[in-house]
Amino acid sequence: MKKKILEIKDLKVSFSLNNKKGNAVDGLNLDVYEDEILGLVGESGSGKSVTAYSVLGLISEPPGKIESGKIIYNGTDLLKLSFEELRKFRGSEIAMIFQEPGSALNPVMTVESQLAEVFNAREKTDGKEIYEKSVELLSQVGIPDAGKRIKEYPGSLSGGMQQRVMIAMALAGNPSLLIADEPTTSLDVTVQAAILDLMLKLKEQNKISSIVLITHNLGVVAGTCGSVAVMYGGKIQESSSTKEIFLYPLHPYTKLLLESVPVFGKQRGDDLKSIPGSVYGIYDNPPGCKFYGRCPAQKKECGVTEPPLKEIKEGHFVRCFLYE
Amino acid sequence: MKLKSREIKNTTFRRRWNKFKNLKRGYYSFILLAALYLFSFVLPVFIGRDALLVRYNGQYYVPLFKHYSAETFGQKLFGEANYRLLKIKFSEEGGNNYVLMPLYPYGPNENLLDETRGTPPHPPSFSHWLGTDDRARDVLARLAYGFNISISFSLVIAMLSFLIGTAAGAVLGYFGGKTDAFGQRVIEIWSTLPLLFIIMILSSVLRPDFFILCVIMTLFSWTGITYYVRGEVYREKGKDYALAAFSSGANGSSIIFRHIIPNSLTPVISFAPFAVVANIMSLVSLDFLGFGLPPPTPSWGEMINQGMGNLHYWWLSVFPLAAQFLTLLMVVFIGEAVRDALDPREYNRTVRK
Repeated sequence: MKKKILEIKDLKVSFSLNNKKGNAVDGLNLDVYEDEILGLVGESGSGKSVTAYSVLGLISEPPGKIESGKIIYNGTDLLKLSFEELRKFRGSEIAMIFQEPGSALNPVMTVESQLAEVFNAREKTDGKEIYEKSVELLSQVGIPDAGKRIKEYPGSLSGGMQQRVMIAMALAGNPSLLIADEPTTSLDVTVQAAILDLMLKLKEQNKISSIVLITHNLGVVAGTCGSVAVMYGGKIQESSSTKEIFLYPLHPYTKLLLESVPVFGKQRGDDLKSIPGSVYGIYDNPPGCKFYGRCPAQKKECGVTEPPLKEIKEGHFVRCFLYE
Repeated sequence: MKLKSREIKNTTFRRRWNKFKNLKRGYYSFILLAALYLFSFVLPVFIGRDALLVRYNGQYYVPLFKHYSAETFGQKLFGEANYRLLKIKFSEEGGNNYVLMPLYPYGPNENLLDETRGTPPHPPSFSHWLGTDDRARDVLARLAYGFNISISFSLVIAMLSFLIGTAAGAVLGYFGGKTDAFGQRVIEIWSTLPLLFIIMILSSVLRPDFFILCVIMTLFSWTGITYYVRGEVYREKGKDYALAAFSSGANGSSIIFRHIIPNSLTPVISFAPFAVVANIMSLVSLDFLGFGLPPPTPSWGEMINQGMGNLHYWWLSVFPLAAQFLTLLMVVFIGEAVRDALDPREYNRTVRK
């Protein structure tokens, strides 16, 4: 049995707007094991990013609020920590990379000073040593001519290079867990592949123990992740190993997601499948299953009570009344 | 090679600076005003009553840096030596003694009754280019020294109030919530205090000098910028790079000072020239009303006030008003250019006409 590095228990995160309150994450349970890459999949508005932000305490209050739950990292409940205590975990235990590298780097600071800040957040190190470490890190993440590039401002780097800098910044704290929030969404397809390869390589070299890869791209998941959790309406709907999910998807939502992946070589004129309807807003919380209304296999009871998350096969969990 | 790497550096700033340079009106106003202001610091070398160099009985004196009594040079006067009279005396004697005077040998606070004919104010003449005022003081000298005081005053206040205002705005925006709501109410109450009455009351208690006036004015002018900085900080705080800084373990002060504030300074920079205009105006109005700098400080407001009291002596009102008009015009030009340079749109709507 592998050791759990991160355990999210019954997490509820609400957002208030104009006296209305809604749960963006609604009783989420998620385990991340050591030495694995977990894919967190779902469409926009399903609560993936909010989950990630909650782990590092980045939810701004107000309007957000963590209502209940536990986020246990190696035995410590992160939600109980003060700002200063949590700061010791940020960067050095858990690091995060963001969707838009262009906006996640400070436009008025050079790459060097941003990297130096990550080093200095832990201990004051002397400037020359930091410079050498930074250049080494940048070369590791595949930035050519790192000694020169380090002096530049983020604006003069390409999107792929910026994301590499972000990864270097995440690695600078020597974390065990990396949360990557749609790290390739804003990049070109070829650059996407390069960034994913880089993350896999870093994982193989044991630079990072575990990665949570948040994405809505199932192609990315298939290529990188060992296990997958499908999220919808702030809850896990199905979770299993990647192979299992792709071969035997159970939840109607997972099936539809898989069918929506564009397939190379399809005939011209064939429609690209999509899931009808859209995610309901968090402020109009309907009873029953979160996917009720868009689900092709819906039954009457689905609109009344919500199915529990059940283990159908070993390691394969699903939240659906079809499997009972 | 070195040049190239510098060119890459800070491209945003460089682009804005280049754009500012292309806005000719503002750029040349900036150059001219900056040059005049720097020049006004060495003004005593060009305009002033103290001689640059005196040779008297084989010895050299530099009155520019040290005061000498009239007796030092054998003048039969009380107090300080009068170098203009000394120069005339020496040239009449025709000896080795000489006096080297500034180009325009009149000081701003000097009463010239003894050296002028008729009753003051004297109209512009060859020796007094812009005439003299009702106390027989040279108008040009007073204008020139008043320029330095006006600009210094407004720059000091602008800097101090932006410093306080930015800090306050950053605190409100960064901490938000109750701090923000409470702080804003405090600022609102503070900014409703009537500045003019408070200055009147204060100046009846303590005699305002340059620095006291600066402090008082700063206390009442820092509030304006806080709202803008607060808004910017609010926005920047939620941006990904701030979250990224949080998530990499940066501490609060580093996030405020290194990440958020440098990215929230656009309103501060674009408001600065207009704040300078406002400060020049308020010093002029205070001096005009007599609550500003104590006499005989050469101040433009006091000169305009005198011009109003002596309307038929046209040079007393025309020259100070013209000087103030031109200065304000140039600062406004600079302000416009700065605003346009910070505007990411390449062409603004006023271009096509």
